[in-house]
Amino acid sequence: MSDFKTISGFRTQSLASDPSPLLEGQIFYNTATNVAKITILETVTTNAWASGGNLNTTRRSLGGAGTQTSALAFGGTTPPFSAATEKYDGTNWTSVNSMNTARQDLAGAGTQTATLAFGGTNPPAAPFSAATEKYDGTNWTSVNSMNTARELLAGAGTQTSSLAFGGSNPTVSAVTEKYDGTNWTSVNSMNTARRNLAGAGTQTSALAFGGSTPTNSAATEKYDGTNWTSVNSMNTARNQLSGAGTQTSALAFGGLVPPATRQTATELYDGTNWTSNPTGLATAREVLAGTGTQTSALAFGGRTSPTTLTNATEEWTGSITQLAVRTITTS
Amino acid sequence: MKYCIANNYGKGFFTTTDRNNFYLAGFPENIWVVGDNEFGNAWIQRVNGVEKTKEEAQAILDAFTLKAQQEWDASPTEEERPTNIILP
Repeated sequence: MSDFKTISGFRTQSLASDPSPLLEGQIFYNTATNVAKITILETVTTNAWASGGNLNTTRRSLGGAGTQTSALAFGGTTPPFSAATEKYDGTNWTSVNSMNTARQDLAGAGTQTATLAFGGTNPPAAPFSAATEKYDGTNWTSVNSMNTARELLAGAGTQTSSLAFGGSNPTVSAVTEKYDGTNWTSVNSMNTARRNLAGAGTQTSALAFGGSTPTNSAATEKYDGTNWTSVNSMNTARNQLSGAGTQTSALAFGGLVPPATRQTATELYDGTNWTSNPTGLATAREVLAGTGTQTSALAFGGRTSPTTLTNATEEWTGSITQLAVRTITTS
Repeated sequence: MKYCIANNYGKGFFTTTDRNNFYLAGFPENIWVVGDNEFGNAWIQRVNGVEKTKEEAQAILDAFTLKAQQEWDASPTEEERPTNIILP
């Protein structure tokens, strides 16, 4: 019978403890426990929400950007319209400098320290806003406005390479605009005009899902930097939802199924199909904000009834592929 | 199901392990509907939840909704009129 050295050409290491850092495929003999071990890549599927730190300012219809452990919440309504901005460190929200223009139903893109906020509503000054502001980690600065003022839109991308799509002014809109860090440029529109939709991805690889046409919608479209293409719909048609992730790995959560059923539903998109997760948000809500990825997302704020806003945050952990040490056994 | 009143204090209030071990759903007035198993019961203890019967929890929710409806009727807004919420 061949031994390991004959097959692999090198001897198995004998180690007093498991190695660090781990290397995939590493085989070694642990002298402390007298067992042979191997380092493998394994997928751990959690797919559940946990509670996170509560927002300081309870609100709905706010914007969000960043990651699960480095997020930004901005704008919304308490009511009244809010310019409040908070940053999240994975545990707590901290209030920071406010936006220049208080508004609700806006969209956002980027990171915690390089954010773009655009659109929304702050009547009577601007029933439909085209205002755009950028955040540098300390201050908000007003920059060139969008070409089409609107509220209830969605956004994707980064501070210097953003995409704004859909919305209402007051009719439902399919308008899409891209931002290059200085100016907004109108590009090809979505196939389905809608408001209260969610978005994910980048300026050249975006995903739009859900919303109101004004009929409640599950429609999903992908954008390739030039055109929008309709793809498979979500399982639960809803509007006023939020989303996270990329065009081929997205997460949809929360929202409203008219007339008054607030949603916990969480769905995962793999680039082809949406799959409903067995468990959803703990607190059903609409007009919430979200950010992050399909494996590490954040949901915050929103409305749990027509008269009840929430400051609750939930943290999503999806499927994570990681290196793990496993004992080699005979069978 | 079990029913309790508990204040969501933020991080750690419920974990992904909790969510995969028992049913959990939050409602207005800090009402939580909790799966009736050993994990759910332990969670109620951990968060200092005050247990209620389903009827008691529904009554709290109904009172909340009635107050919200009265406020809406006195000063209607563009938002929908609050409707009753039925606990599972």
